[in-house]
Amino acid sequence: MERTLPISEEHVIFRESLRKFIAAEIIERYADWEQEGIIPREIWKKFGENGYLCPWASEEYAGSGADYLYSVIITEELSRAGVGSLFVPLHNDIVAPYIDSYGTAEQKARWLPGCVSGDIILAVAMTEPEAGSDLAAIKTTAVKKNGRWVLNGQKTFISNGILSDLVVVAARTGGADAPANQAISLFVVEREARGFSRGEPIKKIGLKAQDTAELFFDDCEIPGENLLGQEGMGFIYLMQKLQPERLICAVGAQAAAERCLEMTVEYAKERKLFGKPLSKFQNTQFVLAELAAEIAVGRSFVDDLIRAHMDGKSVMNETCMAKFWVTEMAKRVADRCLQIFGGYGYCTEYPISRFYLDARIQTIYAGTSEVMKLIIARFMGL
Amino acid sequence: MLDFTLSESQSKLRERARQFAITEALPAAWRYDEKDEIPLEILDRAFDAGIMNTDIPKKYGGLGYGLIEGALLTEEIAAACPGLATSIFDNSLGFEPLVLSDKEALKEKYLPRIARDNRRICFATSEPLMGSDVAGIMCRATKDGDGYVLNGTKYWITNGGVADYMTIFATVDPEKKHAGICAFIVEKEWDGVRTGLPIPKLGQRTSNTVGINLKNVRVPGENVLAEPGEGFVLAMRTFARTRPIIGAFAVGAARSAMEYALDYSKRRRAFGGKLSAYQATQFKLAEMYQKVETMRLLVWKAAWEADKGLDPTISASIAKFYATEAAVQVINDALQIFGGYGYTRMYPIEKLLRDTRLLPIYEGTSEVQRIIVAGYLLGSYTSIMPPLDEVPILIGGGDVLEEGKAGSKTAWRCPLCGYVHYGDEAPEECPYCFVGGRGFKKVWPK
Repeated sequence: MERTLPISEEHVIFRESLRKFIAAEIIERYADWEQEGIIPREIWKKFGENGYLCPWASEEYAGSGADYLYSVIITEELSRAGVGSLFVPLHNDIVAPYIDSYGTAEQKARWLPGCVSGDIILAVAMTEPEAGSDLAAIKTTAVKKNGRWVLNGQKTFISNGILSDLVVVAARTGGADAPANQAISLFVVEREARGFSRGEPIKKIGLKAQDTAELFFDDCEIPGENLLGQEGMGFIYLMQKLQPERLICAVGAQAAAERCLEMTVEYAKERKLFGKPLSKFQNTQFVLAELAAEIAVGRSFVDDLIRAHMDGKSVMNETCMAKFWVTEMAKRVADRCLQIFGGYGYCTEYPISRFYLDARIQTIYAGTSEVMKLIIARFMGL
Repeated sequence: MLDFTLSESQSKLRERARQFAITEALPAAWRYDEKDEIPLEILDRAFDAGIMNTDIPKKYGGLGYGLIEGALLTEEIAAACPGLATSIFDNSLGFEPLVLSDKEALKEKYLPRIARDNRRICFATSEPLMGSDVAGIMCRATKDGDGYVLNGTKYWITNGGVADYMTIFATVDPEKKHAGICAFIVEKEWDGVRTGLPIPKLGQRTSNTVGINLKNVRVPGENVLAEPGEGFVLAMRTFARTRPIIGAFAVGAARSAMEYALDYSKRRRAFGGKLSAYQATQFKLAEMYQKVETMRLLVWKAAWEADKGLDPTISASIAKFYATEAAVQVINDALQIFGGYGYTRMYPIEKLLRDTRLLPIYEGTSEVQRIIVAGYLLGSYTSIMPPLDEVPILIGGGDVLEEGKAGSKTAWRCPLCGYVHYGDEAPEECPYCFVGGRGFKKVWPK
């Protein structure tokens, strides 16, 4: 089915060249990076050189001023290739927009060109050991001292935790009792800030090449001008950016599900069992037909939301529905496809095994499915 | 006389397995998972502790336990590490065809060595291009004097790299399908036997899985386990006894995931309360426990049938595909309760998920179990209820049941649309579908 988005010839060319780029630069080396638990910086630089980092940034910050569809294409292609550990979408569409939206002209000029070139890799630090989806519970503090900010606390599950040069950190500037929507502020902490350290990469079931880490702030001092936006507005800023963050999760999960199905259809046609191709068994046909239907439903919903988001509409409720439903669907698709691959699907040499493991986190990160349901229920006035 | 009480010796055996699981298997599990290596020293200790090979008959130096005992043991070991449980119980899969066979000399030669000298034996039906479809074996057995010569490759062989003996299934002619399948006991040291590198897997990394290549391997006549035509049945009889055990793996793994989730939900706070205080968590936990209990019932039933000398094939298939699918679901739910921590290797859930994902695949995929159960239903299941056209659906004619009441007492049913006619005779034609009255069947009184 043809997609309903305003896709131009430029978009098509962009997608093709990105696909070639991923095939040439990433796919063969990816297994090594999974072993090492991290992706080399040079890859980020290459992404920057080719215009794949923050393509939306305006030209005065060395960007291309590209529309949101380019971000969508980047996320989709990384997902399709099964190289989801490369958290370029986080950098492009989740963290850099904080700087772009809430940063001063000076902050933007200082950081955005590096974000575009790949010299600066970004992370965002909200989650803490005792506060995940429940953002109001964060305990990290920031106190103003002699015109500088002093941060104390611990963050965990920070994607790009090891590679990141700039981390947008949510910390409490109001007292412990202050309501969350006035008590939290955002700060930009630079790599070399004193009192800022990182743990070892966290070992995970999937996203093995993603350098997820703990961050520690121990009397970490940063300049006064590294406050992002206004003091006390952090919670509101984070809420405002949740729509694109959750949308991009759904976009990635949708593309991964589509790729799983493609691979499985190919495999089912080749693989022979009881004297005929697997694809000729009704069970295979019905499973794949069910998955194709679910995927088509997801595609239509996701594309609708992409278009609404591009039109500047507020679709928070629907985006939560998409984050919840599409990531759960992608998990289901990966699981059922793996089953069709049988023993080979369980074998790490087959990409479906990686899709399966990488899919599992998607119903957890960026707000668990449970939190999405909570929000949807609130929108219903429950 | 239905009774779920365990005997004293069964309770003691379970206690022994539990001890072993917690003191030996649990601390080693993650280290070997990380190394992607089978912990041979733990296998040796399992042998010493008397929790391996428990189903070798006493006559051949074994403990002579049944499948119920096997299920009890397996659940405990799998609760600590499903991969290790695979490694430990693979011996039983390997020698099961031998125990089931009537080759007395072969049993006397090999079973005591396995029971007493800690020799390992693996089971090999699968090949690179066939798994569940046993009749599709390509590995070739060519008659040579009183024995055979084997050529081909077996794949997905658990313990293949560490076994001393191999139960190899082959065919005299792939065209003959079932009728060509035969089986042999092969020793690893024989000329022409090679094993491949361990296959890298998503989970079950504490078990060894390899390919076995056979090149002109000469098998003497006395090592023929099943002649052509007997091999397929032998493999199926073996699976009927080992599939309940795969279900027991699932019970153990799911039980652990449930217990860990229960513990975590009482510790972790979110939005001002403990996770365990939220109904979404409580309901998930209740469903997890419900699944663990139902899984175990099916596993025990299949094991009980086998121990009673009944044919456990259907119960084994039902137990296997229900329990293994339920386990994956339970563990997935547990992982979700753990949130981000569940996805990390610092908590035990992710490994349970990786290890358990194989269960609906190996020893006959869930799909193959469905084929078996459907085949039974459509082929030989006997219904309790009367045939559809004899079901007394006495709509609006309830008075026919009451003796002595006025009116007719005979009900006739249309064979096509199901209309029920009340009268001494069938109608001339059905007033609904116009089918002739001769086809009407008397459905009341009986």
